Amino acid sequence: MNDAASSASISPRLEQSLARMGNELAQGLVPLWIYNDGDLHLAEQDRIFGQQWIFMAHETEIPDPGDFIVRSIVDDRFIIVRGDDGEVRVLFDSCRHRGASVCQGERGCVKAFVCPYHGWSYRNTGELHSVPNGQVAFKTLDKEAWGLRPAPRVENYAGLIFASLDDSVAPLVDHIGDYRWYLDLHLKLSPGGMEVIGEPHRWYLDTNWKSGSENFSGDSYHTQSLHKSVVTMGLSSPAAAGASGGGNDLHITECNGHATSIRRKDPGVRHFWGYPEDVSQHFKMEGLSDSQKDLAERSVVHTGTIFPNLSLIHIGLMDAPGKPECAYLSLRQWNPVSPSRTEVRSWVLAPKEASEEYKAQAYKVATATFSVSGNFEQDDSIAWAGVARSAGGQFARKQGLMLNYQMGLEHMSDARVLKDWDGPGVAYDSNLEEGVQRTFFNHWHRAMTRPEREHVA
Amino acid sequence: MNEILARPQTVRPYDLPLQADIDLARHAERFLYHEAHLLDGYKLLDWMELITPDIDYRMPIRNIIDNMDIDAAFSDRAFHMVEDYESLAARMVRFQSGLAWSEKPPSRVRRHVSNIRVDPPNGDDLQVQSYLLFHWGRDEMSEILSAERRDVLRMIDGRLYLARRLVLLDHVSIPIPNLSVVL
Repeated sequence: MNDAASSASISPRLEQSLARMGNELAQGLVPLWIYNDGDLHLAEQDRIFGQQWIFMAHETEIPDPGDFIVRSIVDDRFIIVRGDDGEVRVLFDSCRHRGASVCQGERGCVKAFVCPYHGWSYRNTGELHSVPNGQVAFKTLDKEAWGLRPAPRVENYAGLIFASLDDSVAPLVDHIGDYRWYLDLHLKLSPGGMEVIGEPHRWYLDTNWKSGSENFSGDSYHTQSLHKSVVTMGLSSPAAAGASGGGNDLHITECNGHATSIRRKDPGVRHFWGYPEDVSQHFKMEGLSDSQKDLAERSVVHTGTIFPNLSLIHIGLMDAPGKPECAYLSLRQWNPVSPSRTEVRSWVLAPKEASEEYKAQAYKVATATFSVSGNFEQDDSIAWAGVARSAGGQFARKQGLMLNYQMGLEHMSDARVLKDWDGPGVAYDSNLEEGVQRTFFNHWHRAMTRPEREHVA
Repeated sequence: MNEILARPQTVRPYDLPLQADIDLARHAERFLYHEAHLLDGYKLLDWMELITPDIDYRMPIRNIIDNMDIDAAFSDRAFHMVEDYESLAARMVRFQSGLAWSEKPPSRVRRHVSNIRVDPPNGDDLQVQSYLLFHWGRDEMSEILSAERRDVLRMIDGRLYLARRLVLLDHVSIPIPNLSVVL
């Protein structure tokens, strides 16, 4: 990796600000300016999106040989394609001859990708297939050396395909780490796992990507205010999105840098996020421990973020008052476009064994609650736009304005660490604490200031 | 290909519509203007009176695909909105509740309806296609959404109602932060 050029774009001012943040975070303080800063946006591209594992696709989006979709890591456009050999590859969408895109659509099923410029063509495995006039014009071309360039690292966890632009990144299982304990509850309920329904929702927010990531880390506190309307209207049970502070709530912090917020039913109550019996009967939960099974059974809602920008919500909601609760899993990714603009991509998933009828209803309810038109998510966009707006001017910087992330620190709230919790991470017995969001920022801060970066040549 | 490029021997006719069909088209046009007027003016519950109890409202996700069949770009499984009467009513009541932050203050909306085409009637149902330019504004932001709408308007006791709407957006990724509207 050519590190010299990218590190040069980080100003001494920014390095000093980042260095100070260690102390500030320990006190539960987050500087407002980081939600809208041009230099920081560039630095994050290098130190986070250029180095971390980034979610690319769910394997059920490309089930058959030749199936492809196009996705980007910030400005780098990749083809995620299942080759004729069945293997999923993540290939840089750029012809090796002059650099033009070889993929004109963003979804489809093909045998080959053909560059429009001079007609170089590549198999769906990325190998260079043919070069026009090759026998006279490129007589000694080593075709094996000139295939589409793959992302340096591509790994799959339980159907989630990730890529990293850094070939020295630790394995994906190490990145997810102990958070697997929680992630498996969502992805390994039934033998068939979870299946993506349709194509993902896509829309633009006038906000910084970190607002989505930190919120889904576990902002249980905002629902009673920002989402009051949906509980009042009967589109959500009070248990799922009402006031925080219930006795069965959990916050899991510092779980390999990832976090989750969980609301549960009373012990012994079989709820499974609100899946009806004809879906939950398939939940064999093979390979899960008794503690995981107990948690899955009692679950009302989980939100969580896998650092840096893949979030999840598993919940049962309604698209109209009086209808039965319908549960679904939504994965969502917050892709930075600029310091104050983010493209959201959001997938709706349901257990593979569920009926087509259930999947269609789950999709409908997901769209009516968490999407650009969702009755929940419409209102998130308003709060987060305000954060980016107030972060972008002179005032936040000149005043050194700090945001308060102190809930749960010292004696600020009654949240206590659960000493006897069976799962990994640091568990709190209440969702009235903000360690989940501090977890996101602690991980973010480590990624932005890793000392070993000084030595990368 | 050459046959198509060659000058034709005869002109293909454009059939002039019957006067009765023109009258129906006028009714459809006035219906679309009327509902735009109600929605733009946030008379949302009045708009609900214009739709049938079995309404099917969909806004499919558009994909970028390499296919000259334009309709193939629209998903048959994925939607930005997929609504029935009850879910539309829930949206309208929420928008007017004073609790929906996305509509505090109300978005600055205006629906420009054009290119209205009406197929010859089939029983009580009229197939009506129209183009929509939709202005959305909040704070200092102003954006335009562009779409085609394929509607079924149903004649019941001499009045027209919206029974089916397919909103075909020209956007792959929605350029505004929330769709707290119907198009």
